[in-house]
Formats: sequence, structure tokens, C-alpha cells
Amino acid sequence: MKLYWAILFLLVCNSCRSDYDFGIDTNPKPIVNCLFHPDSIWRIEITRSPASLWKYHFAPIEGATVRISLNSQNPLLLDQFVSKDLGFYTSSAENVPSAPFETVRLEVITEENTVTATSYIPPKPLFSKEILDLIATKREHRPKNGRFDWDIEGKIHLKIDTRKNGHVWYSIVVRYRSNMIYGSPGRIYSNDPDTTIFDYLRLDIPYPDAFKTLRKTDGYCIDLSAYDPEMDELILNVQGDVDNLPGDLDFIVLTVASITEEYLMYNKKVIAQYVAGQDLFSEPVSVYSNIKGGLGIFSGINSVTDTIRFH
Amino acid sequence: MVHRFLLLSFSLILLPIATLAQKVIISGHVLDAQSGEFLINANVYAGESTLIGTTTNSYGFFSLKVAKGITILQASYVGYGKFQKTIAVSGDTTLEIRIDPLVSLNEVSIIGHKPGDRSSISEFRITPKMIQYLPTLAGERDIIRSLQLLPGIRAGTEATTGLVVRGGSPDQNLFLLDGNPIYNISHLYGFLSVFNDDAINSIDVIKGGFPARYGGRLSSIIDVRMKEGNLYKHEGSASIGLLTSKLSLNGPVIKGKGSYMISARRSYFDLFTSIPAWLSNTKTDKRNSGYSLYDLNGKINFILSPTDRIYLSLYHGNDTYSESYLDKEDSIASLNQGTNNLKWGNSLGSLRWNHTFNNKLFCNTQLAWTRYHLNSGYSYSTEESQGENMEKFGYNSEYSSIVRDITGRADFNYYPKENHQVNFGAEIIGYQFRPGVQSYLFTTDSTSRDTLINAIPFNSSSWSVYAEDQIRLPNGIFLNPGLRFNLYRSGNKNYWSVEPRFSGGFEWPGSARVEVSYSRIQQSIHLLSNSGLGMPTDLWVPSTKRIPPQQSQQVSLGFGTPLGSFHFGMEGYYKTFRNLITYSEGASFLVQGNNWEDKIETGGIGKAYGMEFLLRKDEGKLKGWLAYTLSWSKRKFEGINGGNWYFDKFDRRHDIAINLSYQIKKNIVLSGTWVFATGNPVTLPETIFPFVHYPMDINDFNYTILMSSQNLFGFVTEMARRRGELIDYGERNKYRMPDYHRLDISISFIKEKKRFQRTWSLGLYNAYSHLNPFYVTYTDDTSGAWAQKSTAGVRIVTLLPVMPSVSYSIKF
Repeated sequence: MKLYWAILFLLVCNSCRSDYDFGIDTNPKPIVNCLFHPDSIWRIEITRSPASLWKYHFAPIEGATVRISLNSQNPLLLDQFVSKDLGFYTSSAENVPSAPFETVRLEVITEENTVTATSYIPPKPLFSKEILDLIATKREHRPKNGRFDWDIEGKIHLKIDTRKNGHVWYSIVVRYRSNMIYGSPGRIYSNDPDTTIFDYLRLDIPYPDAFKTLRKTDGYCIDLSAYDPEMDELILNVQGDVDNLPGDLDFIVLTVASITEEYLMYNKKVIAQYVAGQDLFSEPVSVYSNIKGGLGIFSGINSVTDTIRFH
Repeated sequence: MVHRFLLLSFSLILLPIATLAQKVIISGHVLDAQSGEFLINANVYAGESTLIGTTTNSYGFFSLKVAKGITILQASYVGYGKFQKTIAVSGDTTLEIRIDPLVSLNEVSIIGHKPGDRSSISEFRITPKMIQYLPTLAGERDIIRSLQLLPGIRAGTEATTGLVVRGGSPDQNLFLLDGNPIYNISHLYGFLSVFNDDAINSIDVIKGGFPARYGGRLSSIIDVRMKEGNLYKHEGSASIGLLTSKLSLNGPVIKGKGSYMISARRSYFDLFTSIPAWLSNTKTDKRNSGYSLYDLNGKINFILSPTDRIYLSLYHGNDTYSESYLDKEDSIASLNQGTNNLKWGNSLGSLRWNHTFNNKLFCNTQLAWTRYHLNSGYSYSTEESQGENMEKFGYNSEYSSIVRDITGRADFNYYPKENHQVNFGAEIIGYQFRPGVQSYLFTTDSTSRDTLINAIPFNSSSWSVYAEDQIRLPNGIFLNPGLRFNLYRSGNKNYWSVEPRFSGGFEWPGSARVEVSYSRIQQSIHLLSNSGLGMPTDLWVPSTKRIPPQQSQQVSLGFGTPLGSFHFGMEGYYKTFRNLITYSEGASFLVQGNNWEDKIETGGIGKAYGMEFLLRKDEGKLKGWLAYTLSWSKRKFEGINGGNWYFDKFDRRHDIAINLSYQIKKNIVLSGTWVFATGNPVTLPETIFPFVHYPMDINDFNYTILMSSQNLFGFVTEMARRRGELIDYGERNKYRMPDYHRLDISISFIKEKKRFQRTWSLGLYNAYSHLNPFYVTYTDDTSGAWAQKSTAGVRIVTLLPVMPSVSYSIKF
């Protein structure tokens, strides 16, 4: 009888997991990421996906031909993209002349594939704001190093006007100027007080289901058509713990951006995948992509940034 | 003289006409000769050269119109011998037909067909006697798992009792226990069903050509009838197995007038785990955990008069998993304790009254209630001394899901003329759903805060009327046209449904048969399931203002014919679905706090089509069948897979089941089952890619460029880590799990003792220990061989390798 149970035990232990080749398609796919803004230079990231889920190496594609067409006109030529370092193709022009809703077509031609995408420049957001009880409290950093920690808490009353341009998709973020550069092997801090590195404050918009609430630590993407058009006022709850700043925290910046519906859908799926995480039972999330023949997102953005000073 | 001649002439002319017009009605019940239980859908024929036939209804009643005079009355029923008697009928006659059950396996058909021994693949009858020699899982016979060996019916996952019928999903099967719907049929996370075969009399399965008297589910009807109890003598059975033990008793309450049946089943895992816990626990350190399941079936019935009979059926069953702990440290006056439990189960009851108005009209009236509940709870509390004070903190969370319904229905069987059985009736169901109620309670020394989410119940109702005519013509044509109307009300929202039904065909006497059918059905409730495992966490939800009922249409064409000692049947079907719901991408039952309506995709459509084949041998020492199904099943939702069609998670191209039983000797039976199925679809990650968000800091790019000149891999790793990676899954359900196949064998030794019959059964589940896939997991081992492979670390987890079993049972 003991031999019976021993054999049974060994059989169970030795036959639980096995390798299987599903023939997963791991051919590297072209990845194109570009969020273009009419007020800044354009930067398009062109890389390849890795051949393994556990190799975090996005091999840059060099020597690709990149064409941008506006309203189906003759494409802007390559010389607009003069910097092609390590997968980032950067335009030289400070402003790419584009009126709102102008169709922008991207074509990337590599040795293996050609990928295309289409988007447009949304209109500049029109909004007003009112600051309600926004306070930054200063504390001495522990261990003492001459720097300070800050607790930020408060509300911003934001009113977005959709009636003039009819645009309903927006992104809202609140950030502070940071001096911390993430690095390897450890964190690196910049001592330049005029550094333009910004990091996110926690944002919370306590509205009911009509809002698709997304990654609260990085801001919100909102579809204003999802609820009563008369109610276009938002209360933003701002909160953040900022550590180790060399100087005073004088201001924060509020950025309201008009985004495309494609970018909204992309963000929705990004966050759904983030939230699903390692849950064995969650449904797989396919991230939205408007790159035909590849992965990534190509979308226009039009934003306004307001500085909010602490008194 | 002339007057007499004319009178005689007219009499001679009119006599045959008068004779032809003189029909009488033979009506009554068909019973088990030994127990007195009614036999459902037994075949009853009268006549010699031309047979007039019918079948008994759900309460064993039949009515036949025959010519006056001498006639041969025959009756048959699956698992029973044949009845034949020559009778003389001069007027309407009421009688009881008693048939003896068959005893040995040699005489018992494995699969029953209804009615008229039709070779339909769409309809089956299974009795516990038929499956008593089938191989088991851990010594447990299960009727529902036995159905999975039939064409067109399969399990959702390895060894579970969830059924997938003709491309439908597990919620689209209506399980009735004595006419009462039961919502969750799974014990032990799906390894056993709630149907204790010792309490079951018969199971009728319909998966196509749905008669109008059935409604509310799109894919199948599984009509389970409990035993009624022997009207003449007390009898019982008991068994001990690796998982559960059972005891059943039945017998007369008043001999010949009333009978009872009670049956109980329980597991003993909790007893095994509580003993070591009891031995090791101390006053300051206690641990305990356990799992238990039980079923209680009960039925009582009385024959009040020759025309009236009442029944009361009850069922209660539960699964409970619990664990608890206690840690106490007297030195620092600290106490931590907590509990964790998961509990689900069904309770149901029905009261029925059969009344025979006359020899043409029979009625069954039923009042029934059913309740399904799922409760999950977690609590912990701490106490710690802080000087003179004691700090206390407590947390309690509970999640529950409840479905209740009350049903009132009346069904009439009317026999207006020969070859016609008209069924009509009405049904009202009141539903109450509480899907996903969550409560949280935080307590400290000074405060208490509780939160209740989704506590408001959904109330709705369903109103149905139907009529159908079962026509069996002497020339071999059979027809069953019907119509069902349904109104589903949710608040002030009404959903109407007109559901035409039709089945019909032609049968050559004792020979081949062709049948065609069409059904349109509406289903007002849905099951949200992540895994298809039949987990208790699957959520039953109603149709609401936002979510309309799901609907289907199905057509089928079938053919069957005897081939010597074999019988061959084949049937093709095509089904369409609309208004389907499913969890949205990223949603999971584990994520609580949200309303379930916000976690789903609605408006889905589907299609399923295929061919089913069945070759069976019902006679001789060697019996069995070969079933093969070729099928496709697809779905389409706007928010899933980019709005494109994709294979349903239960889509399986090929499905084969071979079952054989051989009677080595009169008291030794050897049986084996081999099943094969191509793999289920699965969604797997194909690659990863970085994501972008706005605004990205301009210095993100400067920094990365700076770093890149120092260390290329450092650059890309850090960039990815800062920005995060997204997983690209490609198309939904693009890949396939490995093929599934398994051999089960068992041998039974039966011995007749002086006062009882005992049976030892030895079995081997998955005899050659094929590693069948249960789910997929990933290894993040980036070293060694995995780092080099293009298919990164995807592994199959097998649940059940070879599993021997033994069980002992007695019948007395």
C-alpha cells in the first residue's frame, strides 16, 4: 500500500508542467510612435519589437525613409528629418505648419516593410480655471541634506468650452518641476535650478461613470461626449508628495491638451492592460494602434500649458 | 319485404362506415412494474398491421384513439423490457401498463432515444443504470460528465461539468431538476455536478428541434427527473469513494398510494485536514482549513385519487471552503486572527399537482422556487497592547451574488384525435438578482466605517405562453410545429419575443429516418465568466434596460439508419446568436468595486455550425458508441479584437469519443473510454513594445541619448523601464492549445449477497497519463535555453495525470 501511494505521489509531482511550442509569431514588427504638436519639433520613434517577451531591446531602425503629407499634398521631404539617432527621427523645423483638423499622413519605408498612419491636428483647447485651496507645505528632508520635501494638495476648477470647436477629447495633467533624473546605477539629481524636467502630480477627477478614468498618477484622458453637455466643469483634486528638491516649489503647471479619438482609445487600452496586470483570469487587452503594418500610435496633440503659482 | 330488404341493404352499406367511425380511447399510465414509478416518454402502440402510437408525457400519462374491438397493445421504454398484450376494447378504457426493468448490462442500452426509438442525434435519454459501468473520475460517477461523451456536447475544460453544446456557452444550457431551473451545477470547482445519480431517475437532453414547451436557454435543455420512490417496498443504496460517500433510501409512505425518496452525499476533505490541525494547534497558534460539499435530495408524492397526484421535490447543496488562523503572544498582549471563506450552493423546491380531466386532457400545475448563492468573505482583526491601552483594528469584506426565482406554470396535454398530441401552457417567472454585492467594514477603537456597493437588487419577470402539436402519421411522417410567446420585463422596459419552432421528418418503419428542425429562442439571463471553468465566481446577471436578452436561431438536418447490429446517425446544424455579452478586455471577476454593467461588452453576435456523427451498438456483450463532431464557433464584439470575428474560446474543430463496455462474465464488466479533441483557442502575447504618453518630457530624450553613448543596452533598458512596455497579443484566440486525448478504463465486480448487491469498481483515469492542457503559464526565466528561444517561456500546466480510483457500493 505504501508503494502504491509513493508511486502515485511521484506521478503527480512529475507530470504537472510541460513545454510546448505554440508557434508564436515573433517576427520583429515595426514600431512607430509619434505624438506631434504644432508648437514644437516633431520626433518620430521608429524601432523593432524584440523576438522574445523577455528581451527588452527595441532595436532602432536606421536609414528609414520618412514622409509626412499634409492634406494629401506632396509630402514633406526627408530633409525635414535631419536627426536620425537611435530610432528617433527629429524634424528641424520649429513649427510644422498645420491648421486644426488638417489630415496628416505618415509613411515610413524600411528595408523590410512600409507602414503608414493618418491623423490630424486637433484644435487648441479653450478653457478657464479657478484655483481652490491649493497649498504646498514644506518639510525638511530626512536625512538632512539641505533639501526639502513638499506636500501638495488642493483643487482646481476647470471649465472646458466645447461649443465653439465641438472637440470632445482631452488630456489633463498637472506637473511640478523636478530635478531628479532616473538613471543607472542610482538616481541622478540635477543641480541646475532652471532644469525643465517635469514630473507628475497625482490627479483625481471624482466624477461618476461618464468619465473614463485612466491612470490617475499620470493624468486623465476624457471623452466629454460621454455625459451631459451642459456639465462641462471639472473639479480636479491635485495631490502629490515631492521629495528632495533643492529649492522652493513655487509653481505647478497645468496642461490641457486636445487629443484625437485614436489617442484616447490607445490610452484606454494602455491603462486597461496596466490594470489587468498579472491577473490570471483577466481578459487579454489588445492595445489600439493606428499604425498600419506595425504597432504604436501616430496622433496629433494641441495643448495649452498654464502656470499656477503658490502664494 | 321491400322495407326489410332496404333496411338490410342500408345496414350492410353503413355498417363498415359506422364501424370505421367507432373509435375508442385507451388512456392511462406506464409504470415500472417493480417500483410503481411512472415512465416518462415511454412508447405506446396499438394495432397490428397499422400501428397507432404515442408517448407518455412527463408524468407517465398516455392517450390513444383506436378502433373498437380486438387490438394488440405494446409499450417499450429504454432500459426496460417490452410489453405486449392483446386486449378487447368496447369503450373508452383506462389502464396501467407495467413494464419490468432490464437487469444485466447485456440487456441495457447505453444511449436511449426518444420517442419512438427515433435515431435523433438532437435528443437523448440517459439513466443512471446506463452509466453505472462507465469509467469514473476518482471513483465518482457523474451523469453530466457522461453527457460530454455524446456528439455536439463537450466540457469547457478538463474534467469539469460545464457543458458547451453546439457552439454555445455554458449559461445557454437549461438544467431542470423536476421542472425547476438550477443555476450552478458544479461542485468542487466543476469536477462534480450537483446531480447525485442515486437520486436521479432519468435525464433527457435536447440540443436541437426544441419543442415550444421549453424556452429560456439557447443551446440545450437538460431535463433531470428525480426518482419518486418505490410504491411497494423499501430499498436503498450506499457507496464509499475517494471523494464522497452516498446514502439513498426510498419506499412507500402508504403502500401503493404514496412514496418517498431521500438521498444524501458528502465529501470528507475537511475531516482529513481537521485532524492534523487538531493535533498541532495550541492555544496561541491555531490554523485550520477545509473544503466540504454535500447534496440533499428529497421527494414525496401521493396518489390522491385516480385522477390526482401531488409531488413535493426538494434539493439543497453547498460547497464550502474555509480557513482560519489565530496568533497570540501573551508576552506583548498581541492577538491576530482572521478567516477566509468561499461558499456557494443551490436550494430549490417545487410543488406539483397532476390532474387528469378526462381520457383526453391531462394537466400539470407547478409552483417552484430556486435560489443560488455565492459568498466570499475575508476578515482579520488585531489587538495590541500599547501601555495601558489596547489598540484594536478590524477589517471585514464580503462579496456575494444571489439569484432567486419563483415560477408558476401550467402544462396541458390534449389528445384531440389519433396521431395528435397537443401541448399548451403558460409560465410566469419572477427573478431577483444581486450580482456582485460588496461590503467592507473597518473598525478601530474609536471608529467604524462600512461601505456597501451594488446592494440594490435587480427584479424582473418573464411571461410565456406556448402551443405545439406532436403529429405522428401512420405513413411515417412526424411533425411537431409550435409557437412560443415570451415577454421579459425589466423595470419599465419590455422585451417581446415570438419564437416559432418546428421539427419534422419521415421515418421508414424499422429503417432510416430524415429529420429537419428550426428553432428561435430568447434567453433573458446571462453568465459572465472569465475562464469557462464553471467556477462559482461566474456571475449570473439579468437583461436590463441597457442589456437586451440574447437570441438564437438554429436549423438542423439529420439522418439515421440501422446498419445490422449497429445504428448510424448524422446531423448538421447552423446556429446564429445576437445580443451576446462578455467581459471587456482587461475585465475580471477579481476586480471588485465596479458595477458589472461597466465591465462588459454588449451587442455581440455569433455563429456556430457543424456536423455530428454517431455510430452505436446496443446489443450483445460488447456495446458502445463512436461519436465524432466537426464544428466551428465564432464571435464578434465591437470592442474586442478590433471589432473583427474571432474564434470563440470553446471552438474545437474535431471531437471524438469512443466508449465500449464488455461483459466478461455475468458479474464482471470491463469498460473503457477514449476521447480526443483538437485544442481550444487561446490568446497569447506575441511581443512587447514601448508606449508613449503626452506630455513626455523633452529631457527624456536628451537623457536617453546621453546614456546611449555610454551603454547601448543600458539605454534601451532604462528607456523601457521608465516608459513601460505594452504587450501585443495579436488577434484574439489566434493560437491553439495542444490536442487533448485521454483513455479511461474501469472494471466492476458485482456480487449478489444474501440481502444486498455489492459492487467493487477499480478505475484508471487518464490511463497513459497524457499531459492534457489545463491552462497556460509563462516563465520569466531569461537565462539559459529560454533566453535563446523565440517562443519565450510558454508552458502548459496539466491538472490531472493518471489517477487510479476505487469505490465500493451496495444496493439493498
